[in-house]
Amino acid sequence: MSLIHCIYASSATRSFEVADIPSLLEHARAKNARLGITGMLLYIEGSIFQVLEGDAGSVDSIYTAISADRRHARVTQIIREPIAHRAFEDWTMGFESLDRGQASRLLGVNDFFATASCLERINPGRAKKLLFAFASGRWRADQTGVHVARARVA
Amino acid sequence: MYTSLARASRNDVVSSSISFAFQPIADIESRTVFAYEALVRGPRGESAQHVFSTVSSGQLAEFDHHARIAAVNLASRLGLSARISLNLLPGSLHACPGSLDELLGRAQESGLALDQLLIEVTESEAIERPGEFIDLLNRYRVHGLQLAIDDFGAGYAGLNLLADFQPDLVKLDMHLVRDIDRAGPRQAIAKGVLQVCDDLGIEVIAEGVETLGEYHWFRRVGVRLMQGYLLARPCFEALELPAFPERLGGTEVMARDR
Ligand SMILES: Cc1cc2nc3c(=O)[nH]c(=O)nc-3n(C[C@H](O)[C@H](O)[C@H](O)COP(=O)(O)O)c2cc1C
Repeated sequence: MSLIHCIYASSATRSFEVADIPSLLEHARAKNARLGITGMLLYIEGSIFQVLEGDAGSVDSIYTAISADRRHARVTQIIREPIAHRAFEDWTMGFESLDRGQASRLLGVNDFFATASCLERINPGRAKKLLFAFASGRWRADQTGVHVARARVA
Repeated sequence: MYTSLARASRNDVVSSSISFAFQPIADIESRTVFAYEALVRGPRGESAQHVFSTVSSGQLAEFDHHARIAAVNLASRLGLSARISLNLLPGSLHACPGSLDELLGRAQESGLALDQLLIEVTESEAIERPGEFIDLLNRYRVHGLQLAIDDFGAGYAGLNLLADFQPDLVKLDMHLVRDIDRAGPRQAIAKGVLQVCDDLGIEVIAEGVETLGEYHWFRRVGVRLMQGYLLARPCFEALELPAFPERLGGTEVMARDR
């Protein structure tokens, strides 16, 4: 079994709202549990960021399903690579919804991810860095966020 | 049994003819050492150039392999708790395919965790053998081995490399770092590289930082990993701490300049 993670960003379609996510997740978590998939989903005002981790075959097949899902568009794979450890071991799919203001305010806090439950003990590494980038505006549909680097020193 | 004996004696020959200097890669935000880069030296501190001049080209890959193991052993004896960054000579994995397996084994025997190991490969090496290189390194990343592309930005092809392979770190080419605080074109290129690396979750190391001007420029754009004479010179057979600039009034200065 080879462990990988696949991380992508997308835009929710107009008819798909944050209120629709819990029912989506209910089904997704059951399926993820069956397939040994863990990860997290971050939703910021219509922009979606998801980390999927697990066995390569399972991750790839879920990702294929997700990328064809009409509830979101512009599904952009950011990274797919082998990993040594899962970053979200205890989460069949963590979920956090933030507005832009919350996201950028939280970046100033020393440990941004301590404030979101599923991000509490995330290992440093690629998934965390990319979450940070997304929270600061990268990979978002509007692309209006602050530069990560600048946010980091602030 | 014969093979392991032969290997042991060859190891001894290599380890008695080489040693290492260690130069810290500093995390300027947490003021800790992120890693020590192991730099080949002679047994009495002779330069790397001198050491390599004694190795025939046919033996280079094997020499390189044993050097990495010797570096890990020495660093572990010196009480390494940070990461150790090991260079990979161009072509040496090709010539010595089991090298990383043995390195991982030896590192564990010396009490190091596998995620303490960082391998540096030059940009030109990575570009020369893309497919092979990527497959090979990805295999070891499963064990936690981290990968840095050295001399990044030396050629523009470096950015293209990231289309197919995303390392954990890149080390910005020294020529890009030199006088960056006063050179617009270098700043523009470095900012481009930083943006790409931020988007892909790749950590950037500014290498060869020699002046406070360079230090401040990189700090301002959010680069937290730095290596260079400003912070610490390579130190023979010792793991020295870097000299972090001190806050003085509104700016940071080196204690030794006050
Ligand atoms: C933003 C988003 C995230 C999703 N995440 C997952 C997931 O983590 N796991 C999953 O099985 N399905 C997820 N889905 C749903 C899949 O696209 C697909 O509908 C589902 O896997 C099909 O399940 P089924 O094979 O039981 O019909 C997600 C869909 C969207 C729009």
